[in-house]
Amino acid sequence: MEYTFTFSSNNEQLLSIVHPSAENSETGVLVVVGGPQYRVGSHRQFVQLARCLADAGYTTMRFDYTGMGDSSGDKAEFDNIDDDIGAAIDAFMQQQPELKRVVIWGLCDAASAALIYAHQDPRVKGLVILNPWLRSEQAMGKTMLRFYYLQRLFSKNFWRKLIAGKVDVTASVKEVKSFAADSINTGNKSHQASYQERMKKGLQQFNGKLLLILSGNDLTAKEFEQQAFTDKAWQKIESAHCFTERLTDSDHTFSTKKWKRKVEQFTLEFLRSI
Amino acid sequence: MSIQGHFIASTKGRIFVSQFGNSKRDVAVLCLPSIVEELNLSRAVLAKQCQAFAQHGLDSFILDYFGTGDSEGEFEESSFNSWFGDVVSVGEWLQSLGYQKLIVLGVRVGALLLGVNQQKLHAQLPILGQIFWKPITSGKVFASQLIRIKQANQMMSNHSEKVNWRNEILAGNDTEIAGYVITKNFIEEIEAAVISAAIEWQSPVNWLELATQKITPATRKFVEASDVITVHTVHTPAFWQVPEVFDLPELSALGVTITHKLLVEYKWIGE
Repeated sequence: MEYTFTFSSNNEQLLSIVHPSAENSETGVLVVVGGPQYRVGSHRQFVQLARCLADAGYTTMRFDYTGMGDSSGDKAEFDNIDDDIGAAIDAFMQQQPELKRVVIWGLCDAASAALIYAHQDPRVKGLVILNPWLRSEQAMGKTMLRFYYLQRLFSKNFWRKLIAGKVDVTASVKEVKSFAADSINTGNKSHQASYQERMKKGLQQFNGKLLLILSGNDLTAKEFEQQAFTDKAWQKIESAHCFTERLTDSDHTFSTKKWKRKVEQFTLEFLRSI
Repeated sequence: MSIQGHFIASTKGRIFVSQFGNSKRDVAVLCLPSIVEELNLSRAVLAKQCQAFAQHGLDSFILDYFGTGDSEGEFEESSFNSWFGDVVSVGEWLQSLGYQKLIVLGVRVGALLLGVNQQKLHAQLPILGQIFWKPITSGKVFASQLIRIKQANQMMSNHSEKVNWRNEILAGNDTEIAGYVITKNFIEEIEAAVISAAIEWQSPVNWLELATQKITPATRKFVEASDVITVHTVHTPAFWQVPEVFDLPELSALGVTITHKLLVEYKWIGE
């Protein structure tokens, strides 16, 4: 029967719900929450998923990371929740000692968080990532340069304003330069690597299996697909250990019964292969 | 400040309750959330309010109605009228833990549920005072907003035929709106739920107008018709509808001030 417990991570209290399977499963599923949602999920997707997986033999846990839902603390950034995920797996395996391995399931920025985390923890044998968040500033920079600034440079209105002295030339040039730089540079940031780089590295170093589920009617999915399937550094996504499923009509959060059941089915098929 | 969860028995099955703080003093706050995506989007803000209560020694609880949140059941198996039973179940459970008085906090539809059951609520539970966050006073307005989402979605997906979704649902054709199955029963019950300005409030009401800088004419009617309503305006974002709002310290602080005042008035604590 479903039960709840609270565990701690860096002195914050994180609330979780466990859906034990009657079948003493050795593989457990940890649902990581993303975006503005909490452990219930948009239109209760995570509750329904967890119940479905538990019924099918896989003990499942959902939790609120720092600052989300009921948990304490200031909301953590999605790419800074390694400690929370690690603490959740510790607590999960302590609570359900029959577990030998864990599959992390995450949608949107939780999928990104899962990719960043998984390779560091040998207990994680599988990942189910749905519509991962992989916004690229370079791509955005390119888009801006092409559609906005170039257009502006060629617009009569811009020149008219320029001649009339209504445009701050220095600022404009600086702005264009910075966007142009963003679109050319390849993440040579001096501080911690960008989350995109960490996702890429995460995939390269992950030894388990991966299931990618993409919605057809979702910009986040499209953006991920455009980058991951064209960039050589992401080529592992097309290897024998990585599977891709597409739901052509689905929106970002799988907001119908039909799509939710499909996601559950894909997840179950994948779990059986672990 | 401790955070714990509980599954407790209610009329249709087990429902989930979050607990913030465990000081076991005489008074606790019981929160009634909104429903569907409003419940999700406002969760962290409500939890932060409860954490603020707990930090001031006031234990507080959030319940999930049957078929919503972490509770058992599905939305389409639940019913607006039966949710009041869940409120009473949790209220009785809190009394069994030793809390002698309760302050209720209703968010949106949660406030509607408190309003339409005002007499029964006070007859069945020891209520000291009430706090409303942007209350819904007409279930019909809420239902039509929900149905409008369906219409907008259909327009965006280029369906040319115009469907009257309300009629469709009332004819018995269950319809998915934003991921929830909406039934005839749900529409009928929520549309019948209305709080009139002439209502006799059974305990002090702190009415919070949110996401606005002034009191709306509709709210003014309620305030003018009663001498137990105190209205407060807080210029917050509409956090129950917009994503990415997790913490509103000003709102939490106001909640703490209101409950403190209630406790002083009722001599549960000193000045």
